[in-house]
Amino acid sequence: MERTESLWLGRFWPDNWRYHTRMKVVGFLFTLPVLVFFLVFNIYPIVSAIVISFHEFDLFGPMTWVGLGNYENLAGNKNFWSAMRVTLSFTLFFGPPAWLIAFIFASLIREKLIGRFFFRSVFFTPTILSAVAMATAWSLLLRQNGPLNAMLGLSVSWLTKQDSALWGIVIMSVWQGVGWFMVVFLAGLQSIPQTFYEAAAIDGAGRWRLMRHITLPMLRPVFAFVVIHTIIAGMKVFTPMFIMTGGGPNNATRSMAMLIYHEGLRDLRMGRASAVSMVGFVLILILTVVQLRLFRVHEGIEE
Amino acid sequence: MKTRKRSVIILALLTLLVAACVAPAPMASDMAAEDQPVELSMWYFNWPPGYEYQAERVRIYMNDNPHVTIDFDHSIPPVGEGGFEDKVTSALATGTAPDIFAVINPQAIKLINKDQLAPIDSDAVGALGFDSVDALKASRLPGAFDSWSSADGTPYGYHWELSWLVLYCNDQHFRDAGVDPDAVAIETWDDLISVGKQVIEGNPDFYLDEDGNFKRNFIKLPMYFDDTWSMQVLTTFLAQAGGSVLSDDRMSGQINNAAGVEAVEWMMRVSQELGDPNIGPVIPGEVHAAFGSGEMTCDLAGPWMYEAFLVATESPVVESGYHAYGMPAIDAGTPGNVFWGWAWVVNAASPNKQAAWEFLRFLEADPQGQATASGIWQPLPDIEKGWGAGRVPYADLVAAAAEGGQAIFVTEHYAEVARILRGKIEAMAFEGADVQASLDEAVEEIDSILDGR
Repeated sequence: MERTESLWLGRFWPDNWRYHTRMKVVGFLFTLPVLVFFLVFNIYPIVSAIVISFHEFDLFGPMTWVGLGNYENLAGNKNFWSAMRVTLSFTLFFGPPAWLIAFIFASLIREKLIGRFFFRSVFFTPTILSAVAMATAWSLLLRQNGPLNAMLGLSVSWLTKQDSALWGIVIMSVWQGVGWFMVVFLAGLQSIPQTFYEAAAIDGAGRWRLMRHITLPMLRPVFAFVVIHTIIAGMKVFTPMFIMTGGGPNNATRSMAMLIYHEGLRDLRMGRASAVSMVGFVLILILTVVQLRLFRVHEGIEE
Repeated sequence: MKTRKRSVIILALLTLLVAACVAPAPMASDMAAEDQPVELSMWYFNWPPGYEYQAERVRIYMNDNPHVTIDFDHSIPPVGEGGFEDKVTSALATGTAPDIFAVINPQAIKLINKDQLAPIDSDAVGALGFDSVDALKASRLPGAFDSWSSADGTPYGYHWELSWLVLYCNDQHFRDAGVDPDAVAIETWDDLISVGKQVIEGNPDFYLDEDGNFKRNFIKLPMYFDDTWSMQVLTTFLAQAGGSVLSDDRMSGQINNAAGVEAVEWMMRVSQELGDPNIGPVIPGEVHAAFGSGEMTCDLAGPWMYEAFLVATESPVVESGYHAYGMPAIDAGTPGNVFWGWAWVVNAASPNKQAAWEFLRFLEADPQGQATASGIWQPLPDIEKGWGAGRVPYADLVAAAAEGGQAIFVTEHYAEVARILRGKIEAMAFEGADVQASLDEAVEEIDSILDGR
């Protein structure tokens, strides 16, 4: 109790407050600025979006209650289902190649190779560059008669055909995302005690067995984090589509985030835009919870 | 003596005081205009030739009118012109919009119908220096105000720019193919296709690879991945074919009728016979850059092409020479073009509307200086005769291309309709989708939007 009396706040404590109560209050006061920030910029917008999703609202006039009308509209709205398909496809096609390449890079960089610090910086650089600048540069690289096709000896219309445009965007996103995943994997790899490898090597384990029985199991929490991050980033993807194709050709790359932008700011249908964002929010929540559950189940079996 | 002197002074002071009280007082509004400090805010998007000219006009105005302070913001919006529109929309919705801002015509009707813009009424028109709204309208090209007006014809925007499409072609490319650019007459799209094929055949190595596929475009219509540009090109062809996107009552789509199909089939012919839409630049800005850099032979662009694009980018095309051929038509006797552009508007919530209109009168009072500095033409009849004739090549042809021009179509659902049509254009141009079937689909989707489904 004496420890709090030196605090300026101490003079305001009610006499009957115990030490732990006072410490809780002090802790709360320290977190208050962040809490206020969180309430104003996170919770308030989320609650507003939920409320608006049950209304018709054009930003300028009053809101009109429509109940589940906006959600019912989505069920029969082909633009919504197209955006959902684009978003899920992007998440699925972007994640695994990015993880695989990042894991290989992290494994190589972890070795004591000449110039590994240089390569680490080179691979990470795309992550810190402007997404808009990168998307613009890649839209030049991906032209049918552009450098990428010339290098690979292909003649693919990466961004202008409906069945290849999303792949063009995935290629750019993998290139940009690999560096970040590599750093996460590298941190995970460096946290595995070297003694595990040494002990296994003494027992005659080869590289593959070390990978299978030590590295991959020990990296399970890292993989879980990476998968969740990919789901969240994939479900929110906006910039590459906006810059490289404007959602085209013929809506083949219009993601859910872009649909929200079109519905809300362009078409002034904030109610429907909020309903789409709520569906996205719930989808991310479900996928994340399922993923975490799966991870916990596996962990339990292991233990 | 002393008392007498004091009495004279007091009498004189009293006389002065009475005179001051009896003299006619200035009008309240004059007091406001001349003495009261006025603070105006103004937004434009980050396009250097435009904002540099405007910033200079702002500086001069504040110098001449010390009681007026103008906070001119031309900071970079999230992305290009579209980002500027979003910035304005958000600001209006949150009550943080400036007194004056620029609006592109398709966006205007949305803001007019939501009572966000101040009308050019009798007070405003006086501040702009005109006797009446009719006199204001008569001072501009016919139809110039149409897409900045409410249903009853009240104008809301004071033009900064009006554009229409003009065909520009690179002389050197013609000469390299053995075609004399001076001897060429391009009045119709058929003429263009014919000349284009002649140029391609005359210099096949430049345009075609060893398999005979296009590696460069003779022309690429600037209409992909951008709603605004796709509508400019589409509606221009439609105007020439006598078609329109919407019915007269704007309650349904009708672009799938015979005129609409004819217009789009011509677009596709030009796109696919004189190049491959899948190769080269895609986004309109890159398409214009390809013409400027000499990568592409012909381009459709606005009157701003010379000053704002070729000169500003030090294009080699200025040195090697180019021709403006006006605007080709589907039928030689029926030219057609569509107006689009930016106008200044005053925020309906502004407390300084009169001062804002007065400033806009000054801002737009030197159309020839504006055109020289920024390449942006105000829609004034004969503007090219005073300024462009000696300076801008083919200014007369560029101006003539505006004849018979009409406003781009207006609907509160413009953004959605444009997005639908752009998607169909991309499918037809990039993948060869059937024109009639694509337009039927488009009309079905447009009708569902207009029905509120």
